[in-house]
Amino acid sequence: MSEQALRKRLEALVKTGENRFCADCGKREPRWASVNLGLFICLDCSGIHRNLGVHISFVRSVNLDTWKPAQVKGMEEMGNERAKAHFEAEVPASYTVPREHATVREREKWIRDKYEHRRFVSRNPQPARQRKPEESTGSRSSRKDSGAASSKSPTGKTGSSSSSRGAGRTSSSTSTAPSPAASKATSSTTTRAVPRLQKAGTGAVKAASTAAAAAAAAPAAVPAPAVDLLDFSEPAPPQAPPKASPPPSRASSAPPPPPADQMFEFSDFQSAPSSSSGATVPSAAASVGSQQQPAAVQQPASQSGQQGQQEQPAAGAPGKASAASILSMFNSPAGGGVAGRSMAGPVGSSPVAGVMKTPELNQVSQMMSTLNVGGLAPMGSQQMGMPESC
Amino acid sequence: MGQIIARLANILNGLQEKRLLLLGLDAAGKTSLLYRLHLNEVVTTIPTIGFNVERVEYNRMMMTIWDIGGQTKLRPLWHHYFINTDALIFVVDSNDHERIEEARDELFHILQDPNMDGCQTVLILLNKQDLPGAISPSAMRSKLGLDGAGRNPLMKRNWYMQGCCAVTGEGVYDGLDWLRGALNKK
Repeated sequence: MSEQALRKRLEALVKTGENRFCADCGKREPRWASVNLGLFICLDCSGIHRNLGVHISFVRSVNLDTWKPAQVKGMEEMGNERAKAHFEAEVPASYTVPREHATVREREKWIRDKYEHRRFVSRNPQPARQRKPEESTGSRSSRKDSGAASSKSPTGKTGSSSSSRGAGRTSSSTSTAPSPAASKATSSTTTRAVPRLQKAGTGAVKAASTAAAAAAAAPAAVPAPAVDLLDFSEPAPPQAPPKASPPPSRASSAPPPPPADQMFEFSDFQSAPSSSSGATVPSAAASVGSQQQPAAVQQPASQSGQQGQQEQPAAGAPGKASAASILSMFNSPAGGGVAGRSMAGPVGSSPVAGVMKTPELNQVSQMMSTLNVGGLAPMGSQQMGMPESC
Repeated sequence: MGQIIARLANILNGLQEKRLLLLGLDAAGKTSLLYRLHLNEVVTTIPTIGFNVERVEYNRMMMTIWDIGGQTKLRPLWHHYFINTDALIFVVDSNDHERIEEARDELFHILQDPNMDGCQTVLILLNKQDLPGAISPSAMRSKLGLDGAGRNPLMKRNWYMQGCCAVTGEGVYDGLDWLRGALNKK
């Protein structure tokens, strides 16, 4: 498929349904994506995703990167709505979910909890099984559902047991939290999880009722094995053979394409007990979590006016001085044209103005603009505020 | 005006002025490294669209470090920054097993550019060595295809490979020490 066709598909995808909003903070028009998680995110959240490492989140720009057909397909199969239903299945009511103007620290906590520690993924296999058919219908019908509502739906059906467990879960899930190795373990058990998943699929009664939805989703899914979503995971290829069955029969016997992520989830269930039993101080971990929250709440109050320019309050006296100088460097020409600042600002205001001559600069900025990069300038201007956490 | 005076002062003080280019694939950690060097602290970065540039003094060497965005569509812009580069710092994400070849291709592509002929010093920083899945520097050497007798544009150059972690700062200054020595020798 030509690159332009892929681009068109991607552009169409990012304008539909929940994909119009950042999966993490709700900001409009996300221009970045986590390819292996299958969701669209905004520039600010993408920065934090990149910090997680490519084994957790592989970030691509919708318009500044080239995409492989398999990656686009993976995005089409997952999307923000499904991803949210999966990763935000059990967000405790007390948890403050950051919004668009949240500080970097709030965002980072949320994103790490969500994808690195997988705190809010449903630990109960039951809801996960039933969710899949529901998700597929949900993605078709309830487009305007906000994040919170759509994330509730999968657990809501399974009764109060799972939701009431939500509060207690925070402690147990934090105990699994400090284990980046756990995600390693889950990937190694992925292959084991596959047969299970399929059994679960055939066992789900609801699959029949949503067979139409599944049939609609299946053709797209068949040539794209789970490898696409994960992109990097070694154990993925063995999953392909069981999925190679023709689409119609799959649609009738099994619910919609099990996205790679759910494979993760299922293997998660398997590995969860061992890792939680390995943790010795769940209560301590929980108390840490509860300490962090008030801190996160305080921040917007004290720094609301700064729009996340200086997220991390103090980092030692020398750091402070240099941070201030940096910020003054970036902020002094405030009020200048946004587009102008994005390229010329840093050079003009930094002490190296002489190094790069302006014609050269103009050439570069022209090149940038000819890239037909929508929203480049505003992003660029944000860029200049970049040493946010100085 | 102030800048000119500062530069004059640098020259009088015997500070060397060097122009360094910080390149690598997207999310390799270029911006984090730049601010690790500049501020000596960890900053939460966002993807670089355009470039960042900072002046960093290290051991009586004044470096002007250009950090340029590494997204696929931004890479064709790199060559605009090549002229008069004293040294290239190429950053590789050691944790990104899938894209090592891509990184190598980009590195070779950079070094084959005629405008980089003047740049005979190349420091390859293998970033993110702290992550559990990181490839060790020794393994990376062969993965990047730099250990064999095969022809590559690094052969004619003075180059060095250093594992590092921009978050903790480990290895970063070891690389800079080598860089400083290599640039002084020249």
